[in-house]
Amino acid sequence: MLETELVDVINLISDIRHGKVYTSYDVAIHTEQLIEKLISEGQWNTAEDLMVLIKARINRIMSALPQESTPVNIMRHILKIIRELYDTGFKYKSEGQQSLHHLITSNVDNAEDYSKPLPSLRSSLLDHLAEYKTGLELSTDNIATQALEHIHADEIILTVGKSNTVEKFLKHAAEKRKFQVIVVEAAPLYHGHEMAINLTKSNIQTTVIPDSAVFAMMSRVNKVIIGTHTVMANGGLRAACGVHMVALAAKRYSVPIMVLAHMYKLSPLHLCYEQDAFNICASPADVLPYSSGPIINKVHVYNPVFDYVPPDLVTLFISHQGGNAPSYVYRLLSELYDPNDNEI
Amino acid sequence: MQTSEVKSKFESILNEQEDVSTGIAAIMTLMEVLKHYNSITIQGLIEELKVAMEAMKDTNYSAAAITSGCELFRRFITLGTMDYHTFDECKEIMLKRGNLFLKKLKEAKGKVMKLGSQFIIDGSKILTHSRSRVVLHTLREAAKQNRYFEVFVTKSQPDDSGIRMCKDLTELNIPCTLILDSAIGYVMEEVDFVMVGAEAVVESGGIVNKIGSYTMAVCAKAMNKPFYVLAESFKFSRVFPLNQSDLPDEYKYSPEMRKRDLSKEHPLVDYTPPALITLLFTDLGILTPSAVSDELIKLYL
Amino acid sequence: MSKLNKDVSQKDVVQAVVVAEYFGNEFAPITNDTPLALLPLLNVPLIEYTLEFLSLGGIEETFLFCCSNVDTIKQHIKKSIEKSAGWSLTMQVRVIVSESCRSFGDCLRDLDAKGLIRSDFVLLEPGIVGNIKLLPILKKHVDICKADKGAAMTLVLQEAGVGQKGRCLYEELLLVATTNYRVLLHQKLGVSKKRKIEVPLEMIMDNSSVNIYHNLKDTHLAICSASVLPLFSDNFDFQTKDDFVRGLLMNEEILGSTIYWHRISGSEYAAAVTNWRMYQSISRDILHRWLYPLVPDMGISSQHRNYVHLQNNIYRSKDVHLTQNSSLIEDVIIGSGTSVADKTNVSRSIIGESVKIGKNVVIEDSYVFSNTVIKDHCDIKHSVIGHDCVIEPQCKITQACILGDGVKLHKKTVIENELIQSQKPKDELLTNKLNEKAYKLKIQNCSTEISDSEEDGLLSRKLLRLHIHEEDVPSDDESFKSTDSEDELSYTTSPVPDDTNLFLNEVIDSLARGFEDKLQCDNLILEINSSRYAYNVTVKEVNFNVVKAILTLPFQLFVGQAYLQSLRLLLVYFSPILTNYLRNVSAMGDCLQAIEEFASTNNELNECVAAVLNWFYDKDYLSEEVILDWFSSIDSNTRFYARVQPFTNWLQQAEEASSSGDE
Repeated sequence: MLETELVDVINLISDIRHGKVYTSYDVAIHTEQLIEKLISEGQWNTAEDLMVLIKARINRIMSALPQESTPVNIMRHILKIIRELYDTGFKYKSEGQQSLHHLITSNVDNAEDYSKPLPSLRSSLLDHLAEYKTGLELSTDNIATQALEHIHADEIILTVGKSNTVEKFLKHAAEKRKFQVIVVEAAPLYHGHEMAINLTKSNIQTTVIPDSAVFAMMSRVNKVIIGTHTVMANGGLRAACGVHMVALAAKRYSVPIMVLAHMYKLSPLHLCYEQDAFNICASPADVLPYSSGPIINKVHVYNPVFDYVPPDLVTLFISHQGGNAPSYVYRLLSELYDPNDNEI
Repeated sequence: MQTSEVKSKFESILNEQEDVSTGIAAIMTLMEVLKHYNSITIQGLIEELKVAMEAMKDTNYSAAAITSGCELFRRFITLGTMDYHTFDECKEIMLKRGNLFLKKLKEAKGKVMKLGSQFIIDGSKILTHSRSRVVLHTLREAAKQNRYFEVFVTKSQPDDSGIRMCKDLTELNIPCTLILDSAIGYVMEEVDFVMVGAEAVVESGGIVNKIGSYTMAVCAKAMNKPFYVLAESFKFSRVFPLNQSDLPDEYKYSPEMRKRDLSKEHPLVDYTPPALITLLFTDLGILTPSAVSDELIKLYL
Repeated sequence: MSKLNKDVSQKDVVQAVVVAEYFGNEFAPITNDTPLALLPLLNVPLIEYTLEFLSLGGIEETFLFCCSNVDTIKQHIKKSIEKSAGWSLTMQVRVIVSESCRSFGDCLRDLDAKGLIRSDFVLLEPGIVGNIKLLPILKKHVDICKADKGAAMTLVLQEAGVGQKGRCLYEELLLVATTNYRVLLHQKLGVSKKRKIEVPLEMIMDNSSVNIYHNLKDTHLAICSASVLPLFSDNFDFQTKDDFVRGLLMNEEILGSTIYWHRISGSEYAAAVTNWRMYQSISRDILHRWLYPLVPDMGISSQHRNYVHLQNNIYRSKDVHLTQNSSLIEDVIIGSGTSVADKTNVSRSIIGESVKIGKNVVIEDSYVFSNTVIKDHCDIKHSVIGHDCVIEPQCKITQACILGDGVKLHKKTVIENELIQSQKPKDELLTNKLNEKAYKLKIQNCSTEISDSEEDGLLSRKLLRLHIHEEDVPSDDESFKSTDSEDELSYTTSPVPDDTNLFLNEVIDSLARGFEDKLQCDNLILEINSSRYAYNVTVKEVNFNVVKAILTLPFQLFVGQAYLQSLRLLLVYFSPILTNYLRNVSAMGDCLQAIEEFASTNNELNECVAAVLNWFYDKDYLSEEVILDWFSSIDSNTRFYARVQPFTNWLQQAEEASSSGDE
C-alpha cells in the first residue's frame, strides 16, 4: 500500500501523537469520521476491496501506536459490520463465529469470498455507521444513566485519577442521591486534583487522598468505580498506573470494583505476558526533575503510564448495554468482532 | 469390520504415523469403518461406529482422547445425514465431508502452535508436564522464531514420558531440565508460566490430562503463575466431572488395570478444574475456560 | 501537502531557522563524510530529532541552512518526506544553501539578505534535540516585545544541577538577570580560566533586585525578533550566537536591544550535540526517556516502531539475534538485524543496525554505528566506531578512541585515545599509518584547524575530550582507577570512612575480649564476619582491619610491656584467624599495607617491623614474592624503608643461596 493512499490515517496518527486528539472519546469520533469518509469517498467496488483498505489502516495504527487500541477496535468492529451486511446482502446464513459447531456443520471449506460487488453495500454501510456514531455519542450518557443502580444513598465511592466517563457517572447519581467520593490523586500526573475540583462543582462531597493512603481508606469504602484505557480479551485491564494497587486493596477488603468501559475499549487481544512492551514509560521529569543534580547520573527512573489489572480483581464492567462480569467479556467480543479479524 | 480389525487398524495408524494424536487416529479409524460398511441403514452404521469406539477404548491409548474424537465424529455424522435419496449417496457425501473434517482437524495443531508460541517471550522459563505433541511443537515453533527460553519437564511417573520429552527438546537445542514429579513446588517459584497439553477438555472448561497436571495447576495457582493449556478442538469432550473420583474409570485406568482391583491401582489421568486454568489455546482462538463450555453447549445443543 | 502550503502562506506562519552546519571538526573523523545533521543519534539521524521537535513544538515552516554536503542533506530530507516522516505532515521544510558561509553569523547575514523571515522566529544552532512546546514561549516573547520594544532575543535555558552529565563543562554558564527575566550578564565560564566572577556594580545598583544563576544549561535555542537578522548584518564581528549575546549586552545603549531568557521546566528538555561529551550525555538522556515522546520505542519521526523498551532501559529491535549467554546490562539500544554471539556483554552503549558482534566481546560506554563487524574477544570501551568498520579478533579499543567510517583494524590491535580514519589524509607528515585502512590522526593537528577564536580555550577543551568518558561515568569504578593510579592506596592514607572505622573498633573489641576470655578463634571469625556484613565493608578492608586490629591490641592488653613480646603472644593466639583471612596474594598485600600504615604512625612497631615480618614469613602467612613486590613499591626515603631493608636483603640472599644450592 502506498503511503499517499494512507494520508488520512497518517494524519490521525500524527494528531494523536501531537496530542491534538487526546481523550479516547475524541479518538473514537475521529476514527469513525475517517472510516465514514473512506466508505463514502474511497475507491472501492467490492466488500473485499474495502476490507483491504481498512486492514491496511489497522496495520498502520497498530505499528505506530501499539498502545492505542481504540481506533483499531472501532475499525475491527466495522469490518464485522461489512461482513454481516455482505452476508445478509447475499442471503448467506450469517454464522460469523468460528465455533466448533461451525467447524462441523459448514458444508464447503469456508473460503471467504467477499469479491462480488454489492451495489447496496455503500449506502447500507453508511446507514449503519450513522447509527454507530449516535451510539458512540450517547455511550457516555447511557453509562451514566445506570449510575442510580450502582450508587446508593450515603455510600462512599472511591475513584482514581480523572476519567470523563466516571465524572459524568458520579454527577448523574448526585442529581438524585447524596453520597461521598474519595478521589485518589494519582501521582505523578495528579489528574485526581482536577477530578475533585470538577466533582465539588456539582456539590458532591469529595475527599482527595494520596496514593499511599488507599489501603488505609479502603476499609470504609463501599465501591470502587474507575475508568480504563482498554479491556483485554481475558477481562483484564490496561488502566492508568496505580489502579492495580487500588484493585488489590479493594480485593483485600472485598470491596466491589466497577469498571466503566465503552464498547470501543474492548480489545480482542491478549496480554502476551510481555509486560514491558505492553506498557510505556513517560518522561522521568514528573518523578525526579532534571535539575536534581548528580543523582540523575546514577539512577534509572521509570514512570510507567499503564498498569495491567488481572481479570480476577474486577467485579463488573459497565458498558452502555449494562453490567457484565469479566468472565463474560469473551461473549461481548464475539458480538463485536469477527474472529477472522483478530489477527490482521 | 471386526473388533480385532478395528483395533489393529487403530494401533497401526498410531505406530506408523508419529505425528498423529490419539483423537485423530480414532477418527481416521472410524473413517475406515465407514468406508468398509456395507449394510444400508444409518442406524446400523451408528451402531457399528459405537462398537468400533468401544474396541478402540480397549487398547492402551488414552480413552479420554478416543471418546472425545469419536463423539465428535458421531455428532458430525448425525448432523450430516439429512435428505439424500439412497444410502450410497449419503455415504459418499459422508466420506467426502469426513475427509474435509479430518483435514481441518489436522490444521488445528498449526493454529494452536501459532497462538501459543507468541506467549513465549525471550528469557521465559516454562514448566511443562509429561510429553504432549502440541506443546513440543509449540516450543519448537518458538525456538524457530529465534526466541531463547528455558523449559523444565517433569519426569512424569508412571510411564516416564517426560524423559522422552526432555530428549526431544534437547535434540531441538532448547535448553531443558528434567525434574522429579515431586519437585513441581520447588521449581514453581522460578518459572514464568506453566504450559501443558490435554487429553480432553471437558464441559466445565477444565481439562483431563496425565496424572500430576492437577498438582501442577494447584501449585501454579498458589504462586500466581499463569497455567496455559494447549488443546485442539477435537479434544472437547462431553463429560462434566465434579471431582476426581467422578471421572469415568475408563479414562483413569487402562483396560488391563480395569480387570484388577481398582482401589489398588494408580490412576493415569486427573481432572483440573477450570478455576485453575488461565487460558486455553485452541484452534478456535485463545479461550477462557468459561468460553470453552459455551462452545461445547453450542455444539451439543 | 500542497493544500497545506496554500493555507499556510495566507496566515502568519510560525517559522524556525535551523543552522545545520557545524563550523569545526570536533567530530572528525566521523564527520569527514557525513554532515553533523546526519550523525546517527540512537540510530536515527540527528536532524530527524530536530525537525520532529520543531513540528511537535508547533512550528509550521522551517528553514534549514546548509553550507556543505548539501546534496546528502537534501536527499535525506526528500526521502523523509516520501516516507511521510511525522514532521513532514505539519511542517514545511526548506533547505537553504549558501556555500560561502564560514560561520554561524555568516549564515544569518545571508538569511537576512534573502529576506525570508517576516516575524519572530525560533533560532536553532546545529544538533539540537528537544521536546519543548514552542508556541507558549513564542507568545511570551511577543508579550515581552510589546512591553519592551528593544527585546531582540529570548534565550531558552534549562535548569540542571552542578555535576550533572547533561551540563557541558566548557559551557558552564553564569547568568545575571532581573526578576522579569531580562538578561544583564551572560558569561560562558568554561572559556575563561578565571576562578572569580566579576559582576559590574552598576548591575546591582541599577536594579532593585537581580538573580544570579549558575544552575542553568544552554539549550542553544533562542526565540528571535525579526530585528536579530539586521543586527547580525550590521555587526560583522558577530560570528556565533554567543558573540551576539555578548555584543548586545556590552553595547546595550548603542544597539538599543535587550535580551530575555526563559526557563523550561517540567518534562520539557532540550540540548545540543556540540561535542562528543554532549553526544554521550544526550544519548543517555534519551535512553532515560527525558526526551519523551521522542524516544526510540515510539519511533522518532517515523510511524513505524522498531524498538521495544525493556527493563534497565534496554531498547531492542524486534529482529535482533541474541543468544542465551549474551547479556545486555543497562542503557543499551540495539538496532535491527544486529547479531550478538555467546558470552558477549554490552552495557551503556548504542549498537547500530546490522552490526555483527562476535563471542566474548565486551562493549561498554561505546557507540557502534551501522554495518560494522566486531569479531571475537574484542574489548571496546569509551569509544566511537563509525559505519562499515571491521575489527578483527582480540582488538582493544579504549579511552575515547574515535574510528571513522570504513576503518579496518588487524588482529590484536591495541589503541588508546586515538582518532583513526580509513583514508590517507592529505597531509602525510602528520599521520601515522596502522594499515591500508587505518590512519592515525594527530590530535594536536585537528585542534589547530578549529575555528580561530577561543584560542586559549583550546587546550583545556581538547584535554576534556581525552577524559570525556572516564569522567562522565562515575559508576564505572575501573575507569576511575585508570585515571588516577594512586587511588589504589588511597584508602590507607586518607581518613577512613565512618563505617570502616566502626568496623575496626568492633574487630578490636572482639579480639580483645576473645583473648581475655580465651574464646575459640573460630567463634571470633564468625563474629568478625557478621560485623563485616553489618558495616558492609569489602573483603580487602576486612583483611586490612583484622591485621591492624591485632597490631593495635598490645597497647590495650599489655600496657607498659614490651611491644614485640606481647605482639608475639597475640599473633600466636590469633594464628587461626590469620590463617582464615590471609589466604591469597591479594590478602597478603592487604596485610602488608596494614603493617606499613600502622608502622608509619607507631614507633614501637616501626622499631621491630623486621621481626614481625619475619614471623609472618616464617609461619607462611606472607610469601617471599609478595613481600619483595611490596617492598619495591615503598618510598625508599623513609625510615620504615630502612627498617625493612635488612629483612628483604636477607630474603633475597636466601633465595639466591637456595637457587645456587639447587644447582
